[in-house]
Amino acid sequence: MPLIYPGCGQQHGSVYWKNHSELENLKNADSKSSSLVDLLQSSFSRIDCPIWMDSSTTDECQLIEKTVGNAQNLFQITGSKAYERFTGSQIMKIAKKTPEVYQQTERIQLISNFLTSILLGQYAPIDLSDGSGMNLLDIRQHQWSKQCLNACGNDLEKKLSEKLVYPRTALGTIAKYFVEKYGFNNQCQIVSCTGDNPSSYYALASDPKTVVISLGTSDTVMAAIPASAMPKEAFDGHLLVNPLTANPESNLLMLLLCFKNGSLVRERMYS
Amino acid sequence: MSELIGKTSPSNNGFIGFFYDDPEILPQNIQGRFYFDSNDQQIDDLQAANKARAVLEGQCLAKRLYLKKANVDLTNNVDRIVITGKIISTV
Repeated sequence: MPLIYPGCGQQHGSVYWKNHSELENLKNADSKSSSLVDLLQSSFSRIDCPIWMDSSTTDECQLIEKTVGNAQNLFQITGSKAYERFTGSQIMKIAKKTPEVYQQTERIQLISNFLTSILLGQYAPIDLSDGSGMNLLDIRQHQWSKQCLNACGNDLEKKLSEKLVYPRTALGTIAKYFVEKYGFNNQCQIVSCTGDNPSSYYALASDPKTVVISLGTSDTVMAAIPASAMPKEAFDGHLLVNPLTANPESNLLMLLLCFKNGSLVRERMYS
Repeated sequence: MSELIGKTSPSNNGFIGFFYDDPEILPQNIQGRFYFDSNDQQIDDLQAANKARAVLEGQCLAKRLYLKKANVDLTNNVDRIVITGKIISTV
């Protein structure tokens, strides 16, 4: 029986590959005596990677919104107004501040498809749900927004790869490195990983008629809406390609709302 | 906590509270606590029992309001709500 290895990564974070030859070596059995850190040590054009906690890209956010007109237009295309933690503005900052690093970068990935790539031993495409956290994706057309890409960097479509996948797509068998080193079944299928938020939603919402509420320091609310019911007016929530969507016909969006004042307020009141 | 909430009835006699102890995201850039009575008049504070219920109901209403704003049809298109996490941390 083929096994499936799914996973997820924090949304918005990005990884910068210089080349993929060391990555492809993971498909060879003789690599198992080394650690991944050693095997991939000259693969990246940038060692430190921006994650969701970075908020230094306010200028870049304004530029992205200006490129498409305003925040309202950006929301209509990408499902979110421009946010500092979103990957588009982070890429633009790297392209502007360190053009030599950007130039050397062959492929930019999110944390989720970086993980998929390591498991496969080859570049994996970005998943549409996680890709919705970049301010770069047209969430209703299921393709990159050229306007947004051009605002963020030269040749960005090539660096991200034109190819995008629907959530839960099986992409191939696990790299030999993991079979030899950890005893995985060599028929183990690798399914495209996605972002942490779409992943939690998918785990709890078996169908589009379920609303998921997660109570914590911040409270989050996740729900499904048909793309045809996309709200006209921008708001400070996010719309993503819904991970329940498996093909171009089921055009379902996932709503993600985050309320900052959650359990701390309740604690102060009730303890 | 349940005991305190039990002293008031659902809809809290019209008392409503907004509890933005930290700068909120939804709605953006607002901080502080705001209380209103059944005549929609802003008031300085609520009694303990009303305040306890106001937290519960206020947080639920905010979620409902934003779901509605995003065109989620709670009446016709939602069969169930799955809740996970913690109401209060136990640390």
